[in-house]
This record gives sequence, structure tokens and C-alpha cells, in this order.
Amino acid sequence: MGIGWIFLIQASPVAGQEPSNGFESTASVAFQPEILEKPIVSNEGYFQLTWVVTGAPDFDGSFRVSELVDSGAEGSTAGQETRGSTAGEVENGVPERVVYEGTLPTAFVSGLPDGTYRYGVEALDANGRVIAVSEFPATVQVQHWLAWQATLLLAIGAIVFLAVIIVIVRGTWMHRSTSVVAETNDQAPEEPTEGSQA
Amino acid sequence: MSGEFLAVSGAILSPQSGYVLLAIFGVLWIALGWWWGRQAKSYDGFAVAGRNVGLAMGTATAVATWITSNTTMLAPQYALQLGIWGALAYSTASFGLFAFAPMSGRIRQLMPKGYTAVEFIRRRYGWLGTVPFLIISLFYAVTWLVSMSMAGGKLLNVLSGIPYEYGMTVVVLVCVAYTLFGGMYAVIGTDFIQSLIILVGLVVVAIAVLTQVEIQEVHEKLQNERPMLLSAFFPAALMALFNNMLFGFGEIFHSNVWWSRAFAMREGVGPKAYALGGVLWLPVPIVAGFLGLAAPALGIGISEPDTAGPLVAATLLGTGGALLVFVVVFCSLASSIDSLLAATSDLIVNDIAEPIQKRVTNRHSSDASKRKLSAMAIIGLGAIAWIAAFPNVGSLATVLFFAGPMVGSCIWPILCGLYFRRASPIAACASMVLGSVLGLVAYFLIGWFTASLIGAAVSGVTFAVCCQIWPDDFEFATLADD
Repeated sequence: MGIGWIFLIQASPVAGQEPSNGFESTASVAFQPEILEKPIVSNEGYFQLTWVVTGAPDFDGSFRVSELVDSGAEGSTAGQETRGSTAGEVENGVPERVVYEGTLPTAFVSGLPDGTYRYGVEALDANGRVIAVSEFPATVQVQHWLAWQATLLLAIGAIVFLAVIIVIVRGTWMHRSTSVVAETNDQAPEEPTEGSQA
Repeated sequence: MSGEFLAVSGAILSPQSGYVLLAIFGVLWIALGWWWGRQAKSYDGFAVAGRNVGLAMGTATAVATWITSNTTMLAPQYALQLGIWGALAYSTASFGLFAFAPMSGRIRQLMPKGYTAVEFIRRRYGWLGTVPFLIISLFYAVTWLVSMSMAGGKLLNVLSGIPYEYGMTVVVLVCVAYTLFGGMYAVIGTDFIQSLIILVGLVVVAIAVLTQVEIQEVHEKLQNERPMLLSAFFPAALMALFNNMLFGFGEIFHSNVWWSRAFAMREGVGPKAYALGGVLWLPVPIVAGFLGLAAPALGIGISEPDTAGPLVAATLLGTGGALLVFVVVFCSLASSIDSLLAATSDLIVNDIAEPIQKRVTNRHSSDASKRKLSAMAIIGLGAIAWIAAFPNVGSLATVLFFAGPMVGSCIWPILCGLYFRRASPIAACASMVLGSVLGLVAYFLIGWFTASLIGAAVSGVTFAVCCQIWPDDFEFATLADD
């Protein structure tokens, strides 16, 4: 009963925390320098973005990372969610689609096709108000492995897999037949004398 | 849908709830370990559960051990990173259990009094094969231990906000304690309970998630925003497909976790138990993988890909879901950590400490002395895992898959060593060394998702060539000697 109470009372989502204590005027948020220095290149279509908040030592809010589009480009396409209208424009683009919303200063993004993507991050206080916006976007270049490279490794894998199965089947069959003969003759199993190849 | 599910990533349970759950299950596992461990009167009982494990316990321990925290946390990561192919790739690890099924019968037949995989390699290939194999086995065991200890810390942190260091420490301490009390009896006994909890829990989570999520909507959202996750021609995912399968083969074929169970099971039980275990395990990564695919579609913010599964389930199902996920993953963690502690301590006692002691004193170790050494080894392994996991560096996949090329390169020496006379020590040594080296090169140059595949392929070619040049003519009957 006591445990149940603990779960019921204390299992509260982080969204219901105390309001911020007024650090919005000094807070700033920026991607890690190594991300800003040169674009992240991903051959797998996934990557992590990390950032830091400064000027807010007791920050207890959350973050929102959005994919950016050029200011002159059209807005979000069908099926894509547009958020962060209060965030203002990040240099060279406006937030188009939220890819991460959470309390940790790291976002994992995956499943992207070839292309160049830019992201901006916003810091929100505990009430969900934007208190800082990244000035410079993080740029990510997705360039998947070539088809022939994937096909080659797939083929090698299939060959190794088949070879393993063949060896197990052959070995089991070979020794089982020997065991059966040995048991029939009421003798200890003998090993086959074939010139087995590895 | 996106609006209503748009979640802020963060702890669902309070730290106090997490500590209470930890205390309940910690005490439960230690008590059960002590209860079952009372049967372990001799070293044979402690190390291989008296070699009398039946089909039900045998199947349960195979399933529980193979459903590791990596299954429940890495399968969603695979799906999140590599899409549908990723989930399927992870499920191919069950093929390792299928493949090992006939091998376990052969192992039991060849070495009725055996204890470890390294013992087989030592008798089969001599020191030439033993040195690289022992290094790989220990490295893998420690890597696996570390990755699961990390998983424990991360899980508790994600679900309840307990600091990573505290959660990880408690998980390691509990597993060390009950393995210490009961050895293999405790491990297999707790595995039985844990496998039931895991399977029932996963079914409940799957049903609950499916009632909250429209698959069609997930598909549409992914199609629009993360199209590669659904693509049939996702290059990295295709590269990873056989890699994961071969990693699974390598893990099971070489690891003493599986060999010690083969020795522990009654004659004739191993093949059935491993095959049945594979069947039960196969759908688990697909169910878990769906959680990873659902994360971006539901707008759930993911920071660390290996926490996607628990986070999605907990976010969708609320407090009840978080509790369920907590219990399932804690069981899967414990069932694997205890197995590793027990099996690796066997390896340290039988293949390192005892040979050294025999060389020095010219006498076999007594049962009491081996039990004492086992206890020291279990504590030592727990300490190593704790120290390595403490800094929390790297994701689970990068930690675990670093061992991939090494275990992949063990496939052929084990497999051919079990069945073919011509498999020779030079071939075993060369294939393990070359496969590991080139696999690691692939790990760094291409990615973790190709390392086991390259390791296994290079090792296979090397092994075949060396057996042609330097064939052996091994007498299998010698393996049955004391």
C-alpha cells in the first residue's frame, strides 16, 4: 500500500516542475563548438547533436531542436509539425520541424536520406517559454554508403552464414551416423576417418 | 497524434520509486539465489549445477540469458538507427541459439566432465589456440558485463532519475551477491523466474503499446520524416544484417556462458533447450524494435538511442508502463549479469588459476579451494565491471560491438574444432588473430555494424587456407579424459 502511494504521488512528469526564477535575460544556448566548426557527416543517416546552456546555472527547463529551412522557403510540408514560433529566426533559417524535445542537452536524429540539414536549438523554462535561441545552426550532411558497398557486404555475409550452416549440418550428420552405428554395435562412439575439410 | 504524444524526455518515476523497486528485486534475487544455492554442495554443483538440468530449466535459462538488457535496449536502438532492417537484424541473433543446439549435444558428448569453452580449446588446439581464445573470451565477458552494468545505470536514470552511478552500482552489487551465494544453481533458478517475468512483461507491454499507437500513423509519420527507417535499400542496415547474425554466432559459439549451460544440462537436453530457446527469443527483438521505430513517429525526444525502448514504453504507458519496463529490463539485466559472472569465474578458476596452481604444486585443486577461487573471481569481475562502467563512456552498441570482430573470428576454430580432425592449432590461432585485427580495422574505418562480419569472413578464409597447409589429425576421444 505504502509503495503504491509512493508510485502514485511521486510518478510525476518533469513538465510539472516549478516555474523558472528569472534567468531568461542572461541565458544563452549554443551547439558545441566542434559541431559548429565543421558539418557533421553521417554515412548512416543518424547522428547526435549536443549543446550547452550558459548564464543559467540552475536551469531546470527543457530544449527544443528544430530542423531549419531558408527564410525564403515555403513553410512546413504536409505531415510535418511546425513549432517554435516564438523562438525567432536562427541565423540563415527558420524552425520548420521539431526533431527533439526533452530535458537533456543532446538530441539523437535518425532515418534521414541523403542531403544537407540544418538545426537550431531553443531553451525553454519550466513553463515552456523560450528563454534562449541558438545563434548559429548546426549543419549535418547525410551521405549514405554506396549501393555496391552495401551489396558487397551483404553478399559476403550471406556466404559466411551459408558456410556456417553447411558445416554444422555436415558435422552433425557425420557424427550422428557414427554414433548410431556405434550404439548399434554397443561400442563407444568412434570418430569418422574422413579427410574432412575445414 | 504527434501533438498528443509529443513528450518531453525525462524521468517518469520518482527516484524514491526507483529505489523501492531496486530494494524489492534486489532482496528477492539475493534470497532466491541463496535458496537455490543451498544445493551447491560441491564444485560441480556450484559450477555446472550438478550436470542435471532438465528441459524446462534449460530452455528458460537459454531464453533469459539471451534476452539481455541489450535485447530490450539495443533492439529498439537498432530499429531507431537502422529502421525495420535493424529490428530484423537483431532478431537474427536467435539463429545463434538454433545453430548452437546441435553443437551443445556434441559438446556434452565429447566432454562429459568439461567445465569451460577454454578447456575445450586448450585440449583441442593446445596453447597456440588457447592464448588468443582466452584473451578474446575474457575481453568479451568483461565488455558484456560492462555494457550491461551501463545499461542498468542508464535504465534507472531514464525511468526514475536515480543517478547513473548509484543505479549501476546497485545492479552490479545485487548480481554479484546472489551469484556468490549459489553459483550455477542460483543462476539457473533465478533465470527461470526471470524468463517468465520477462516474457509476460514483454507481451503486456506490446499489447498495451499497440492499443495506444496506430501502426498506420507511425508508418505515415516515418515515411514523411524519417523515410530511411522504412527503406528496403538502407545501405548501412543491409551492411548490418549479417553482421549481427554472425556476432550472435560468435557470441554463443565461443562464450563460456553457453558452454557452461551445455555442460550443466542433462544428456540430450541441450539441443532441444537451445532450439526451443531460439524460438521463444525470436519475436522479442521485433517487439522491442517497434518501440524504437515508434519514438520518432510519436515525437518522443531521444537523447541516447539505447534508452529509446524504455523511454517510449514508459511515456506511452505512464507510470504502470514505466514500472513494467523497469521490472522487465531489471530481470533481463540480472539474468545475464549473473550468467556472465558464474561462467567467467569458472573460466578463471579452471583455465587460469588451476593450471597455474597445478604447475606450482603439482596437485589438482580441492573442491573447497576452487569454491574459494570462484568467489574471489566473481567479486573481482564485479569490481572490474563497476570500474569500467562508472565513467559511462559510449553507447551500449559501441561498447559491445567493439568485441564483435573478436568473437566473430572465433566461429570457425570452435565449429570446425568440434567436428573435423583436420582443424589445426595454427589455423585456429591465425584465424582468431587475423580475423580480430582486420575486423577491428573495419570497426574503425567503416563502422561497428560491419566489424563482426569482416572478422568472421577473414577468419574463415584464414582457417580454411591454414588447414590445407598445416592439417592436424586430432583424436576426439582424448577430450573425454579427466
